[in-house]
Amino acid sequence: MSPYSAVLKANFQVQLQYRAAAWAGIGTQLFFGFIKVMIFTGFFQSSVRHQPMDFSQVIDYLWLGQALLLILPFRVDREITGLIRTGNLAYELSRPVDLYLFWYFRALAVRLGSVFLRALPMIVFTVFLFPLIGLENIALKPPPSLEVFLLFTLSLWGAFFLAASLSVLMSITALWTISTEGVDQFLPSLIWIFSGIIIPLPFFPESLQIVFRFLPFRGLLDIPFRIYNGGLAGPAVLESMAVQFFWIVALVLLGRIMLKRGLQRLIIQGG
Amino acid sequence: MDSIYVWRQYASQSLKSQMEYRRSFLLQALGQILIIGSEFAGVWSLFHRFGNIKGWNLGEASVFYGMISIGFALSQMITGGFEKAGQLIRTGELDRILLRPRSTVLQLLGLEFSLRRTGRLLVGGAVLFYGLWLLRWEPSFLKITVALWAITGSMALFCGLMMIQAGVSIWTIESLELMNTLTYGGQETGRYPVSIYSAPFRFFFTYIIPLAAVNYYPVLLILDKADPGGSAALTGYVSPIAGVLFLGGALMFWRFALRFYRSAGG
Repeated sequence: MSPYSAVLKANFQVQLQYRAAAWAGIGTQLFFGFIKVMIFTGFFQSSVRHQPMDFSQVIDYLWLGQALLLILPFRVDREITGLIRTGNLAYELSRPVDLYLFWYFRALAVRLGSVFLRALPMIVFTVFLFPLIGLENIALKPPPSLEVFLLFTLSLWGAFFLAASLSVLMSITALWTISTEGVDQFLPSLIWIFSGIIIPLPFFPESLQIVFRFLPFRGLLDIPFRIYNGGLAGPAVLESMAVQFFWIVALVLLGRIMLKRGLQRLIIQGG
Repeated sequence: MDSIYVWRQYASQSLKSQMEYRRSFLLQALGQILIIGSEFAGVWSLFHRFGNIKGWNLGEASVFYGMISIGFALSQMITGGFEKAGQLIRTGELDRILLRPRSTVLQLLGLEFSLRRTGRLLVGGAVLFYGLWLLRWEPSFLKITVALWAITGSMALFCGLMMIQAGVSIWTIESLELMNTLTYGGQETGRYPVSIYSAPFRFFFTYIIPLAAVNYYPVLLILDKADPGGSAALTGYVSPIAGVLFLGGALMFWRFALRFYRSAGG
């Protein structure tokens, strides 16, 4: 087994240990989902104006957001920034591995593991249970076709890779700032705003849409969700996925360069 | 009076230590302003697209939004110590707090006077004034008093929720995220008039967690609106007391929970 698949597997398994936390998280996400659904229900009942998404598309978007929320890198990986602060990075550097990839697979595994644990029950609840208890009009619908499902899965993988590159980038900034507390707040707030978790991005004013289109953050949630609910179809799917792919490559390259620079100026304290 | 002096000492030490990392503090506050500001931008955009939600317009919704954010922000500024309870228990720090000849509540309230929460406070205040401006609101002494009373009530309610959360963490830390539905979730719910929600949620946030009492009813008075739900017109003058009573209950719960505390430190 290569060290990278080992770090992937180990960190994935660590995430699976937090089962009680996951159940609490699922309860929380269901709650927030209901609040959001009720707000949109209220708005749709109050207006007949044409909207960028219809009600049933919004429902899919909202529940997918609650189920897959933990794709978003909310905070810096304390374990990595801890290594940098304490100087234990020296041990990390002495491993015969590519440090960037090592951290990258760790970040990927953390996202995959925590999402896996929560998304499965959330999907069971919102797709299968809701129709049984009379909530069929606010249930998450199964994907309309196999083709849509495959494209969705592909762009969801893109979202995971993108999230991992953003997460590693945040960790690397600790080489400069040590405390990372500022970056810890700042980048996640951009992710929060531009990923589509506050409201589905198409509901923001038209003038902002062009900005969203070229930012990396849309690739975290908005692109896969709109492929799923049919908001993106035909050439728009390919264009969106190309943007996603571009940002993964760009952010990985940026991360690698920053890591290299950071390590060159690194001074390890203590002995 | 002596305890107020002690609390001020605690708080000023906490402020000093936060000011040591000035740049980090500024970035954090800015991040908060961005997040909370953009959440309001979300609300604004929905009103821009739909026009109204069940008869409520943007100005009215902004007043609800601003009022609840201010109450929540003020409570978060002083209950940082309770929010960190899980960590204090895990590290055994709570032992030291218990050993000191002052109440745990006083010490935890002073532990972290969290300045970065000013971000939420600023945005909340701005949104409130924006809403009042949209509505061409006529201030009066009575309405301002009701507003301050409502903020006191909601601050007390959220402080109470934080204390319950801290109390629960004596038994379990891992499931604590569920409490977020009451704190952050309460705030999120209170951003819209409670009348837009379905009956079970309305019941829960009126009678179990008295969010409507500290936000919805008094704001109706401030806005001169009749309740579409048909409550008595004077409800809002009295109802914020529910927040204060809730805090009283939460304090009792915290004391009760402490009796079950077993030190994890060595």
